[in-house]
Amino acid sequence: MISDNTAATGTLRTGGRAHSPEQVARIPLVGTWLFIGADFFFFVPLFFAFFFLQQANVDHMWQPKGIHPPNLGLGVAVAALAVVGILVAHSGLRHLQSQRTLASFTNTGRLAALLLVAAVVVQIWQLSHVGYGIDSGGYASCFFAMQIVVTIQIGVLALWVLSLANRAGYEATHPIAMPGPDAIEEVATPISALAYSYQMFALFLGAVVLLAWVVCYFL
Amino acid sequence: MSQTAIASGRAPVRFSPRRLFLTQNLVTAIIVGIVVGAVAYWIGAQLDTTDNGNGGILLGYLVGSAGFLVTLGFANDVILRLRGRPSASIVKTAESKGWTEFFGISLDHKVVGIQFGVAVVLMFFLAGFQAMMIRTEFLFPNGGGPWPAGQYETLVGLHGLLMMFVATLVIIGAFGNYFIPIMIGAKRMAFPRLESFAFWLVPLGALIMYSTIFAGFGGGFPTGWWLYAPLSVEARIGMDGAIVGFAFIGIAAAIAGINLLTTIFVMRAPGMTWSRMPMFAWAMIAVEFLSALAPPVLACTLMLVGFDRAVQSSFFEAGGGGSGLLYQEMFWFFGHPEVYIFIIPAFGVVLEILPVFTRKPLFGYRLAVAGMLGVSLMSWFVWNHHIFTSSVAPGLRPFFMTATELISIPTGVMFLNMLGTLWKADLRLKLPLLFALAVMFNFLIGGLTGVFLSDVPLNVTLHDSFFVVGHFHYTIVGGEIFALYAASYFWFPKVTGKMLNARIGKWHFWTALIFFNTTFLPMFAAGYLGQVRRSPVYAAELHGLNVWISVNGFLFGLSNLIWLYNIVYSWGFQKERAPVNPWESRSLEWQIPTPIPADNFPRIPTIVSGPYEYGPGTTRPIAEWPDTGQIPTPAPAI
Repeated sequence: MISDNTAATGTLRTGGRAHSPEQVARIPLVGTWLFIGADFFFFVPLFFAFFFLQQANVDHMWQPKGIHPPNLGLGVAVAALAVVGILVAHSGLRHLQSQRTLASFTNTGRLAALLLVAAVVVQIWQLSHVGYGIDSGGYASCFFAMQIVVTIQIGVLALWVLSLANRAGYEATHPIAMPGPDAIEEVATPISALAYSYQMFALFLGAVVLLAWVVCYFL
Repeated sequence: MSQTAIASGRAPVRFSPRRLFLTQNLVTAIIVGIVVGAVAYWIGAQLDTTDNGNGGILLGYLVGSAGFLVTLGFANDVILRLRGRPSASIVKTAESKGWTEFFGISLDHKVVGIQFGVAVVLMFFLAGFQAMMIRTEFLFPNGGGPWPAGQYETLVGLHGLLMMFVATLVIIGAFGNYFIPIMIGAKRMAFPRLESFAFWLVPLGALIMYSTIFAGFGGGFPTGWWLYAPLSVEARIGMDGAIVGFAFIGIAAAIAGINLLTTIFVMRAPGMTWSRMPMFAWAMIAVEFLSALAPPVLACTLMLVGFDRAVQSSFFEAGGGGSGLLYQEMFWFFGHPEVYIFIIPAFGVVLEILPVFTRKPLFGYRLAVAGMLGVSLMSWFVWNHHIFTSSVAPGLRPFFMTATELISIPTGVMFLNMLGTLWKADLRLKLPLLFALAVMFNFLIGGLTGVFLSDVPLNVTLHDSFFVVGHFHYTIVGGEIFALYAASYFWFPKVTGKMLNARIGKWHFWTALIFFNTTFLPMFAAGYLGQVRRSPVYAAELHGLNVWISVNGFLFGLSNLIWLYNIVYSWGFQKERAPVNPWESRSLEWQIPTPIPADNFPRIPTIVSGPYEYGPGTTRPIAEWPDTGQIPTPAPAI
């Protein structure tokens, strides 16, 4: 999808009047890797707090009487909806990248967004019917905080895949021409590069969703 | 859109900010921010079931900030992308809009660099003024100064927190954003909109933090810049603003980190290989990995404090199953890499300046790069030395002590590079070099006292004393702020087209160097003699020492006014234009005209040699400039 560029290889080539399409395509790719790193470190305190407070069990308040992991079925439903949504988008985007069939992703992408939104809705329902609140000890605090953060990111992911679906639909009717070899203007970031970035982040978040599920329900 | 235009032979689309609704400018953004923030506060207060009111305040700050940023125009591109429209070209070809572009979203990294520079320097002087107020308190023994105890705590907290803003962003935000794309041969930053977003979080965060002074009776916050829990959970409502403001700076730093790293990794000009990169760019790589990864830990930690305050969760309150020690672990896991976010850019500035003024190649280029990356990597493994007296298990102390002592090795390597470059050099003792030498002198003291403090017995003895205050002021002010001075004298001609006045600059240099040292060196003695930090009360026999420190601190403050005067005078009133390359530097930013063209380079140059190839017989230009009419700049005369 994305070829190497001269800056990376260090070979000499006359510079253009604008950055090359290869460079433009690499920007979201590298940026997303770094963003995933940053997001990973955002999750670190959440998981660290879970294990720290569990081990400390200050005043036996980790799980006071009556506080226990919530209904496993709803947890499974949230994780499953999120993971299936991510995989549907992943599959559609792989197809898009290999076959270049833009229009087909419009519907697949919207389906994936719908699944992710469904995960958010079920999660909100679960959090409001858990039977206790975020103020019910260490476990409850960690559970709510972790699930709230994960759910917000799933919501963002739904918007992201929706934007890709809309972009695919737009490009299907408005083909974007490549600029000439000496154009002043840069090419717009190609949808293939955006799709690849989305896939990387989505797979990362999918892994976090599963990890949060295991931690909150089984540990 | 733009590609279609090009394909159809129409004129290329020129940059213009997309406007969807309202008149999007700073005034409307402030109005909308305040109004929606007030509405959100009211709604939050109605929903808040607790009696502390924190939920409404936090909601007000967050929604008000979102309203400000959206009205400024940051949601426009997001909405268009959600609708599936490709992004417009962001290479700026239009003429400058004049001074108004400094008060809105700009996609020009040079404008954002100046925005950062001006905003952060203003914050520096504000926080410096607070330092003077703190030192005024010490003129009176037994806490008998003008500030009551509660206000003194807030004063120390605001000074510390605001200086954290300054130290985090002054070199990265101002000089990194302005010069890195030019130094590597790029026409723009990788994510120009995010760059502008990161900038606008900074004044927003500072204003929110300052609003804490007016929050409720008494105002302010009592925790210092660490915001230690459980005090920060229980503190009065001013604490909410400190949490949100600090989190915004963390987010801004992370965004700046991701942006600068992507720019350097992806957008280098042809021929700009790793071994031809300027040291300042390497410093940005080393520091931006920290800047991208450590502040998210802070942001999450502060979010959890916010949860504890607003919805009574139990992360840091022992009564509900939480732990204050948990906060300390999380905070310092961010906090120690943060220290190197301050100092690595300073090393980058010094290593960038030394070869230019010694007219010698940088001694041990690769070793210097390794040193920077080594410091960056090792800074993740030392955080527990901040909490030797509280949470760390005794068995872990030797590990963290050793790791902290080991970090002095890559730091020492960089000092060797500096000394090797200076060795037998024919020095051009201009102001940038003088300040670079001052950085070396000051940081040597700051670094060595850091080695002392890594030692567990000494650390436990001197914990929370003025020895620690002296140490970190030597590293941050003596290191980074003096590097800021050096960078300002070095790059000012390229940014403004004017030289900073050398005579005034000499006055600035000598007064700053002397009074900085006469202020902070005695703090080591005060600490050894038992004076504790964060308290205006000290033993009677330390009164003379404290008066000495305060008076010299005021004089150091005045020396900064000389610097400010020089900037204002030289920029605004000096008529003589600076030469394009007054220091005869080989680096790429000096090879292009002043003022720098809107898109930096008419055509991206091809880099053919390194930036530090000074010395007899060097004739190679650094770059070739094809088909533009620009004449390749020959290597400067030796």
